[in-house]
Amino acid sequence: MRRIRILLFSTVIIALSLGYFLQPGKKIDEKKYLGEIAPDINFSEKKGSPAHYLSDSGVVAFNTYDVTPSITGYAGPIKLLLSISDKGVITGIKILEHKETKNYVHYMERPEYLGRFLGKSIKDKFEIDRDVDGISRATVSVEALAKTIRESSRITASNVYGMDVSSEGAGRFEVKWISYLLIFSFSLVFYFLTRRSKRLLRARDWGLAAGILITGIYLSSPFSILHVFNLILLRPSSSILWLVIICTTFISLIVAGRLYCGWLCPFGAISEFIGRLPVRKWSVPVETDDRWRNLKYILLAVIIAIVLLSRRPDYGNYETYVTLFSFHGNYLTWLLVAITLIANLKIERFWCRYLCPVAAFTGILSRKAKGYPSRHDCPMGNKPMPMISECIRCNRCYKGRG
Amino acid sequence: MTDIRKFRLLAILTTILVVLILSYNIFGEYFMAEIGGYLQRRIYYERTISKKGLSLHKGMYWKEKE
Repeated sequence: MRRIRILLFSTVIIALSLGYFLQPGKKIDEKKYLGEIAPDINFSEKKGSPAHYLSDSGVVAFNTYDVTPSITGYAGPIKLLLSISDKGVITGIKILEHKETKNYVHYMERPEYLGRFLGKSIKDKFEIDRDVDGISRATVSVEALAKTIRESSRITASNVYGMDVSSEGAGRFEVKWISYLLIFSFSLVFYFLTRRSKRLLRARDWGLAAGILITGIYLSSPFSILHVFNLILLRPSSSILWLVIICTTFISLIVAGRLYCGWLCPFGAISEFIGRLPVRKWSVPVETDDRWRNLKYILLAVIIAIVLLSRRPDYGNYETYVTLFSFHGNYLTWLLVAITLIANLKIERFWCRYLCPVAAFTGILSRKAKGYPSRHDCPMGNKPMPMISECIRCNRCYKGRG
Repeated sequence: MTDIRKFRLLAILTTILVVLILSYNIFGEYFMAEIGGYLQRRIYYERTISKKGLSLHKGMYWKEKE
């Protein structure tokens, strides 16, 4: 385990340093896109504060990143080229750059979706599902998009036209992060309670089912290795849900190891429920099983190198739960989802054991904890004294300290 | 087939799939548009232009003229 930790840590450092030199921030040619958002209008050179392009007809165009750089989606800012008229109406919009996960935002990039913002007054609240169509499974990104448009256009209108625009904004979706926090708290409390009494283990099943429904289907935000990459690349989100997911996962790693995998992960929960079906499991020797479990660390090292060298987190996305819960993927990713789910009938938690990058990540950061001897119904099929990185703290076998 | 052989086969198959997915993520946006465009042109050639006795290149020129 020590060697794996050293290997992964060195991969992060080397890839991050090389990526910094190999991938300098590219400059966007905004002028090229001005003709797309306002075809018949001639704009001046970029000037003023905030920087903008002014036209004779009074239309102003600007890069939203120049105005509101602090508003971020799931993976940094969503840079837009926006044009507004002197009456405070949005007349043109184009996404210049974003680093969001494609699975969630493919619909947001379409011209017909962006076109729905055209003709809207900048005084509107831009509330998701009221003023603006929401995209299910991409709440954080759409919220960031709407907020970027609302705030940047109001600031620009106020500075360029001297308009008095109310600073009233859209309400926050507090129910989302609160529901994640509740399910996390439930899991953490029952994790400690089930270390004292096995009779409460039924609560874990309820927690897993709630994880599928809330974290998977409702929030569509399972913890992903892409969260970690965005953090390493210094692209944190301004979404409270994102911060709650990151903070709770790291807290759980400190106090309860791979609690996320064993109690919260919706894909792990589905895998475990499938694995409990009364089908004869394959008998795989411990040595073979041990050798193949290293595969997930190798894959993690590979995607760390790919992502940090290219500075593109979406390049490293092969996670089945992203495909499954975003309801979007290509033939290859859906095939992987299908195989890894069906495989649970023969090998319990197949994905978690051999392929999951989150399992590898949480495994290498887990602390040693005594009292997990493992037994025949271990959901991970662990051997009697498993490496700490393989234990998902389900507490079925927990025997206390000593 | 023994259980261990089936397991190895499954593990290798999923590993190949993961490698293909990663390759698609990296190279897809560069090559897929080119490949898609070529296939579209090729299919159009095979179905329509080749019957007129023209080469693919000449056929494309002829299509543009038309």
